[in-house]
Amino acid sequence: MNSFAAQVPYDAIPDDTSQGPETELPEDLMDDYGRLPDRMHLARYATGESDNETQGNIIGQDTGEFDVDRLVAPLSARRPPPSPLLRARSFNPLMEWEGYVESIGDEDFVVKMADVRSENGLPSEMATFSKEDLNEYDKDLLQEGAIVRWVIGMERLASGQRRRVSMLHFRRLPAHTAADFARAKSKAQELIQAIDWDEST
Amino acid sequence: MKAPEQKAPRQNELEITVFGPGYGECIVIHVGSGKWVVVDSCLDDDGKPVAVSYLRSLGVAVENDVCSVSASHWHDDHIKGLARVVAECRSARFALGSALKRDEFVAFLLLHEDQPATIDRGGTELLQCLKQAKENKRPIKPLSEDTLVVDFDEGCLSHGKRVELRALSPSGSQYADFLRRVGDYPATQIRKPKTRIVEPNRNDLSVAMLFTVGEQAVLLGADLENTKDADKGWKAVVNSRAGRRPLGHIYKIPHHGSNGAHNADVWNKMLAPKTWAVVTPWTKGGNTLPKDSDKQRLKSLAHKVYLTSTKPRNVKKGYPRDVVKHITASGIKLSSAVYSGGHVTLRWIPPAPEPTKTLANGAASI
Repeated sequence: MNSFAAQVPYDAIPDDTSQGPETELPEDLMDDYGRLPDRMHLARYATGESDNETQGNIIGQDTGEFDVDRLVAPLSARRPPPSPLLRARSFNPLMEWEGYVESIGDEDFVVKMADVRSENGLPSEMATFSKEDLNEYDKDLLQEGAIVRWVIGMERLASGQRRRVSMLHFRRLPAHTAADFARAKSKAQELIQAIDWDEST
Repeated sequence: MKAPEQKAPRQNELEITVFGPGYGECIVIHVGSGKWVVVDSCLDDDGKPVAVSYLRSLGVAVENDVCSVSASHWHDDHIKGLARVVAECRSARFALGSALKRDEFVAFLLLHEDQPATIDRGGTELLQCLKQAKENKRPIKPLSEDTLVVDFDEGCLSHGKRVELRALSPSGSQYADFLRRVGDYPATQIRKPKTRIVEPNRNDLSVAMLFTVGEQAVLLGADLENTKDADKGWKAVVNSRAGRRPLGHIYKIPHHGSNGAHNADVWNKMLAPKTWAVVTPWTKGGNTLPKDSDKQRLKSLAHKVYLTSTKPRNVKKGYPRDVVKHITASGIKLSSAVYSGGHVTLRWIPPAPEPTKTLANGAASI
């Protein structure tokens, strides 16, 4: 029996073996660069199998020569299915609009918007939102012409529960610069000069 | 949009059809002998330029038979689909407000165009028209007060009358005022976040037009409004037309019937006593035009008044059920920005004093 196998329980094998475990390991277990093996190699080392012989799920095989289970538990045992509490949250959008703030009242504001899937991007709907629903950052961005996205979708929480949510997002577009103006003016001059203006009366 | 079941007018018959799907406006005019004029552009329910759809449904060869396409001003509700109208009406003279000749204004449009948004930026359509004109070497006629857009001499058309379409605005003073403001624009915007162009609450560059056929006329009010100054807005138009004939017997009501565009002198001095009026609806920020008070005013002034559309489209119809549930539960008010496209057609053979009307797709009498 390989003494190392008995001495190094699974939990003691660090995720990043390059940092080196506290337990002293045989030198022949290290590679040419002095790096320590990963868990799979440790398992193979314990069973005496070479890399070429160990296709498929070898974790947990009992060779009879030693108790490999003491070194590595079966995959199913080592990595139990994630608890519902640990599931990643996800969001599945059902409808998404892009639009702009068309008018602002005392308590609410109107967004004129188009379904993002529409080909022409022309606004076909208007939605009235309460100013109270905006966070402080977005309140600063609220102005006529501000471009927003509104998404309604199903959110799956980490607990597995599903709920309908909607999110209004103010796009943070870059500010105009003097260079932008200069560039636009230059392009405009070029365009106007290239057009044949019919001045006849 | 369901193709209107109308036949083309007779060669000597005049027609004015006003489209107004709640947001947008377009006018097509049969000047006689199968020749057509298009003023402004909006889209039908299928997202196509309504002028082209309508004229094709009448069997008009738009490539050859549309002799003029013009835009009264640059606001969204008057130019949607214009680039395609111009492209399809290949032999038409193309006319735009004089502001489009100014690099300050075109720079203003370009500046807003240059941003990472999928939504139309407000100047997209006009820039497309300009680029198209450049590529195809197609002349553009700049419009301002008293510019002649289209004319046919007496005897050229089958009804035998002289025909002209003439711009009545903007006045020189109004144009100068605009140039001052657009010149100041960059200094006020540097270091401010990019936004979409929002239509300002002013329509001072709007090109009102007068279409005359012999001794009859149609006044196309565009979105021209009143100002305090006598040399701008409707006051300037009334002053410049003082004592001139003919009087209008059909009036495309300006700016969707708003009180700000109402000028009593227009009714008293530029229109005939029994004027037929057509108004297009409009919506912004949840407010709609014409208001009830506007409708009452129009009814008291005109012989007949028609509204091009009265039915907002049901926007939730195509939504997933969960989306409709959410909107209903959240209390967010969602409404349509467009109505089902309707139109009013008036036809007459000059010098008949009264036209015949056709109301289509939700258009109604007020």
